[in-house]
Amino acid sequence: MAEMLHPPMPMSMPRRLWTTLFSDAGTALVSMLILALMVYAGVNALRWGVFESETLGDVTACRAAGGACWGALVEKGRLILLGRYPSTEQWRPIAGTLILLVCLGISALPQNFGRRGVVLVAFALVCFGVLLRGGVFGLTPVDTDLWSGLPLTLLLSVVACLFGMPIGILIALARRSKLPVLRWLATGYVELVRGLPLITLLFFGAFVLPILLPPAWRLDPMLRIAVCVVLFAAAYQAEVVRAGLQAIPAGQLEAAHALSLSKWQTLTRIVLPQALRTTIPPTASLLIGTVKDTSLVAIVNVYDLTGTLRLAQGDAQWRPYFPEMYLMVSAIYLAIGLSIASYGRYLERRYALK
Amino acid sequence: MMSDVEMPSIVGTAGAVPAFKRQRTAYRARSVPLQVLVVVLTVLFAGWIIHNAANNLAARHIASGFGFLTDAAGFAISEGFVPYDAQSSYLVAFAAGAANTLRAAVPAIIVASLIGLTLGVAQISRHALLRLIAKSVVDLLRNIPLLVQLLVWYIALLEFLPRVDSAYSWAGVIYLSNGGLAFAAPVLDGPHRIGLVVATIALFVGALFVPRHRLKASAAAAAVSAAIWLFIPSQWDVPQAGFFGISGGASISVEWLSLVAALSLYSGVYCAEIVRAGLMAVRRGQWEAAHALNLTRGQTLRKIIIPQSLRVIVPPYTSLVMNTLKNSSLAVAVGYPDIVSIGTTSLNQTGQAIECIAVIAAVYLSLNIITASIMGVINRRAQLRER
Repeated sequence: MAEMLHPPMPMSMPRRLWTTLFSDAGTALVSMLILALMVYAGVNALRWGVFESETLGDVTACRAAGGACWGALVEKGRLILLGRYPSTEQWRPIAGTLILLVCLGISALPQNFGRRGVVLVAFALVCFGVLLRGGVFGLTPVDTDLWSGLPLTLLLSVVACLFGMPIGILIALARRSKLPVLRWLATGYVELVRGLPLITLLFFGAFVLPILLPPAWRLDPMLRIAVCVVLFAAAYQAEVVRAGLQAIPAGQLEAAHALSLSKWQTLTRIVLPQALRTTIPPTASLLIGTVKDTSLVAIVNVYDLTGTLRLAQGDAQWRPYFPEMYLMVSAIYLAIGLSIASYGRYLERRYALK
Repeated sequence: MMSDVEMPSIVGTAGAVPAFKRQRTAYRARSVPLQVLVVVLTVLFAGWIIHNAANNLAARHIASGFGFLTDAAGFAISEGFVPYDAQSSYLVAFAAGAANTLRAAVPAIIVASLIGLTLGVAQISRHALLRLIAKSVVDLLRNIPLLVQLLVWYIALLEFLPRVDSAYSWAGVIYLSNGGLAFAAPVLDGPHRIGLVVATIALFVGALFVPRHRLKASAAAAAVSAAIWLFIPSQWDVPQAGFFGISGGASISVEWLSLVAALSLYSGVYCAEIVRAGLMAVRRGQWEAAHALNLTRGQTLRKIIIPQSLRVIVPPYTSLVMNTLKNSSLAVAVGYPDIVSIGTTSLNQTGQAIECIAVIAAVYLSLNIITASIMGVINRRAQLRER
């Protein structure tokens, strides 16, 4: 009788690591090289960021210290985060941002999708607007051109995603419509906007839009920029949704027709739920892209997080400590991006077909 | 209430119009007024906008039209291929801007592709540490806005490079400082230069027609033309470190360097994801078959996996190229004179907002069309040809 072979024993963690990293001479050499580099970089980062750093908000102290000057953040942190908003009123953008974040968090839970979530986010946006704009409830009015920093980045991102999404869905439906006129208009719009850099659209909003509207309208510059960001996001969202619509088998529509569902019912109960499920991953990366794109408003002199970063650099004496400031801003964008990505993965799992 | 129109019936009465035809007619009957309404609304909207624009422009005493294109631009453009001076017209300025856009975007696309290939292959490496590093680089750079990265590069080059009077120099041929990069360049007068350019293009086009070894032939063409460019010119324009900075030689600005560095890395990590997805789309069986044929891992990648992954890679790569072209518009943030930056300068000078934005839009749309048609050819070549 032949001896039975046992399946290989699962290896312990350190043993597995050892065999993957040092299996043969070549692999071992590469591993050693990378590990040496990592140790070198790690030691230097620690020395720069921790041991030789200075946390006092004082330039002379920073010059004396060889490493990072976290004091630059103590000194410039407020300017970067809240920007040009009057410092006596700074509780207002902080409160507005917190309300916005909390409401977004609550409405992001799947049990709050639908009417409740929309009402909640709308409420948060109204609160945000009232708090920052002032002029009611005894709050001093603050012009929108003083809105800046992280609150503005969040506001623009939320507005772009929130309004861009439904507009994008409408455009995608128009692009798949049987009516040629709707199809042509939607296709033309999407192709035009996607063919142009966002900056061009922002300049359009800043310089051309005032010419195209009646002089009496005098749209707020911030509103014009927001409109441009929304229209830009909508064109990209439309393409994502269109891909989702195309992925729906024709049998679904025929089945809905056989059940004598109306067009509206077919759309809202059969087509969109399935189309939106397949578009979760591209929508997540689109949202991350939109958040990153809001940084471009800094070029048309709207001081979002990137804009305030440039403002902070205007101060020549703190200018040598730009890496610290950039690290902070990058970390904020990174945190936003990674949290959207992990939320997208969660939704993907939640709505995966079983 | 059941009208004929609303009740599609499968059973048509004999001799009458079949049900599906009636349905289609009904559909047309409803759709035509709707479309007419949309057209009328669009036309009204356009008319309203034109009316507003006419009023606003009249109030500002701005004459609309492209007549200003032949006026002298008057501003300076710091760098570029297109011969331009302050007396040149706006048209020449726009051409210089469009050329500058390509001057930054094309090198960035080439470097980004190389970075993407390296990081993409590294992400499917057998080596756990290499995978980890590649993945972290990609995740980090993808989540930070390009504008922030660009500003970091710009300020880092300005702050960390030595000042012009103490520039790094290599053998007196290359100087690097926060004023930019200056290097020796061959002196080429008119006919000489044209001849060289024609010879180089001819070499590359010829290489494309070498059957089976197109890549090797292109590399040989590149080597030969580099040799020609290096050794034919009798005279070299060598940069001189003088009292007021570095004069002579060819120079590259810090703006260009930072723009190309930021664009290359940002597009590079996106390209890495495209390459990784393409490599992973090739079936496992191909790896195993290559292994069975005793090919090494490198050979398998080069001869089996990458050629097959190209058909998955080329379509998203096309949009990556277009995105890089569009993203080069961030140049305006560091003052590199690309088409957007020159367009907005002209806009501020002339007040011709609509026309200047239209010119910028036209440049990008035509660049997109050119990219799409070039990549279309490549895509057709990369597609699976089945018998």
